[in-house]
Amino acid sequence: MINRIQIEITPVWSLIPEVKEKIRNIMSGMNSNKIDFTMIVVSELLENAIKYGEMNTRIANISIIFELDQQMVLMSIKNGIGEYQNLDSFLNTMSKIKTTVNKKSLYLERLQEIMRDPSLPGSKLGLYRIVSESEFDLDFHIDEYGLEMLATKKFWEI
Amino acid sequence: MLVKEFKVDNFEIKVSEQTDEVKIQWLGRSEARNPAEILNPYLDNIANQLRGKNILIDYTKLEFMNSSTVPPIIKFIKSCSVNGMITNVHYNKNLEWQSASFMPLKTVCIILKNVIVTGI
Repeated sequence: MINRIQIEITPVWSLIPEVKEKIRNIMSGMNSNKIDFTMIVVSELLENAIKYGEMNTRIANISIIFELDQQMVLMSIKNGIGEYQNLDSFLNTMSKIKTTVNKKSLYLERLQEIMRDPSLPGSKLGLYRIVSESEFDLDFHIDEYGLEMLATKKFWEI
Repeated sequence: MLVKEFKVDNFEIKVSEQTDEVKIQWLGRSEARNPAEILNPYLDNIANQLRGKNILIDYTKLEFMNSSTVPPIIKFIKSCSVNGMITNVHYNKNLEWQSASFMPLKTVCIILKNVIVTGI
């Protein structure tokens, strides 16, 4: 059986706990460690969508799809992007994630940068945390209007 | 003046003086949009007020933190080290998310003097 939820929210920070609670409910009865790691992924992706997403003529809200079956968990979070939005930093991070075998090294490198200068603005840890701490796979689709982040994990791995 | 309680929404820090150390306990969920904005001034004050003392930073009751909470944590631990405070950091090794979050932190804290990060 597939447990699936599809939610659309306005990009407002205070709605994040509500989405997390709905997903937590779907996972109820599962091992709490698995739920904790999934909550980290939901939170990091939603936070990014709210922080960096931009409304446009086609996409004004954030769409969330969460699917859980016997074999895997899947999350899709889609937000709008602006016509002139600079995505270089995001693309650079995703390129590192896709080409680096040892994902934990990416997270550690970023922690070391923060240790050298903790006053640097922004943690820039969220995506690394998803692949390093929660050990989800991360992918994305992008077009001129929106960015969709896809996080997946095989059920027997979590 | 040392402010012993910090509370924002579902997140709290409590400071209590024990016989041989000062315990700084983090509780609840740190999920603010910009935790550094509210945490850094508070933690800077603690690091200055407790200069020269032994401290225990206790994360074992922390239920959740977003990644934006990590830089204030690193900044605070580094300030404690620079201020010559013997700093013990505890996390809950039975919670997998805490182990996954704090073991990398333990690795980067190796370069700091007087700081010991332990899973208990």
